[in-house]
Amino acid sequence: MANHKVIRNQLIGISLSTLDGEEGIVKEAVRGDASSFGSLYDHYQPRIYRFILIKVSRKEEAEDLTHQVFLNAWQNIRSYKNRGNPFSSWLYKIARNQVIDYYRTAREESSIEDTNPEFFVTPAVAHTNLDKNLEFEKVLLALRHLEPGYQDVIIMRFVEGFSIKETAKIVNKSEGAVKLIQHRGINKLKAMLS
Amino acid sequence: MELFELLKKLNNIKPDPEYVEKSKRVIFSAPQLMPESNTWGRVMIGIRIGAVTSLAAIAIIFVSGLFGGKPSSVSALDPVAIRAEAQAIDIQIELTKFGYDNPTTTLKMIVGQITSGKSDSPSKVGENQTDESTSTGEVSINQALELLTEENE
Repeated sequence: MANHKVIRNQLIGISLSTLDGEEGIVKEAVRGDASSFGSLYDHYQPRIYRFILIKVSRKEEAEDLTHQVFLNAWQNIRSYKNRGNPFSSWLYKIARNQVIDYYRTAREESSIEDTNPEFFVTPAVAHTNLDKNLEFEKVLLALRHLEPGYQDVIIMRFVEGFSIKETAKIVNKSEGAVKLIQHRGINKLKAMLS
Repeated sequence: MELFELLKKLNNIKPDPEYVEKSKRVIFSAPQLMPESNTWGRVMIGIRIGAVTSLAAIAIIFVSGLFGGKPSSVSALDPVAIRAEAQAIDIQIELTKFGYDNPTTTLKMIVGQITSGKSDSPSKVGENQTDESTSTGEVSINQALELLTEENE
């Protein structure tokens, strides 16, 4: 269902990484309008949550870090400056820094094996058969062992379904660099899973 | 299942709705930080720094004025007064003894004493020999030996 939606949006040219009328909404949010920021929150919060959960593997940590990302964004939204990148670029940057801080301070070796996939995966995914759950575990574990740069691009390209162009804008890299990172990242994932 | 399909399935991960509502409520109840990087903020910071610097400068001037305008040490360094004082000092250096430790002169004295009978005076001998002996000590010795030989004869 979600995949069909992604494909449909891509076919009709709707950008997946941005919200409709985002520029105006962001301007209002920068002026301190809570409802505009609320719209941005509703649109981006699930993505940021997924992005963080895949990186940290634990539901509680992912919730705390996601909360912190949006709290920082809300508190500093008046300092936000549009430099041509989508608003999500700013949010993903805050999220990346939150994850880096988390690993720097916690230093706890949390293992994906300790985490029950049903704990954080929606029923649509969780209520599949045991083999599929094991496959998910393997993929998540492999993703978590990738370097952050590869993780970011693979999550944006294959989990969120962003285009190369959108991903390049969000990670602030050239499209060629994104293609290269994607290619290497996928090869590394495949090598880990084989 | 293929890798790409598995990755796409991860898109179904969604946060707990209860958590979302709670988190949203907490975020919107938090105060926003006022940016200091905007133009008005920069102007205000500039005014504050300027005011503090001016007050500090005024305080320094006031305190230095309070504890005497011109320090006494400065007046002592007046060049005209120093020059006058230097001219007033009477410098008299008396050379009580001025001599050289010259072996030739000593030898002349000895020879003069020995030949006091023949020569007019030791000083004269010294004076006569001064011109010749100043260049080398060897001439003086020869003369001295000649004089001694003459005396012995």
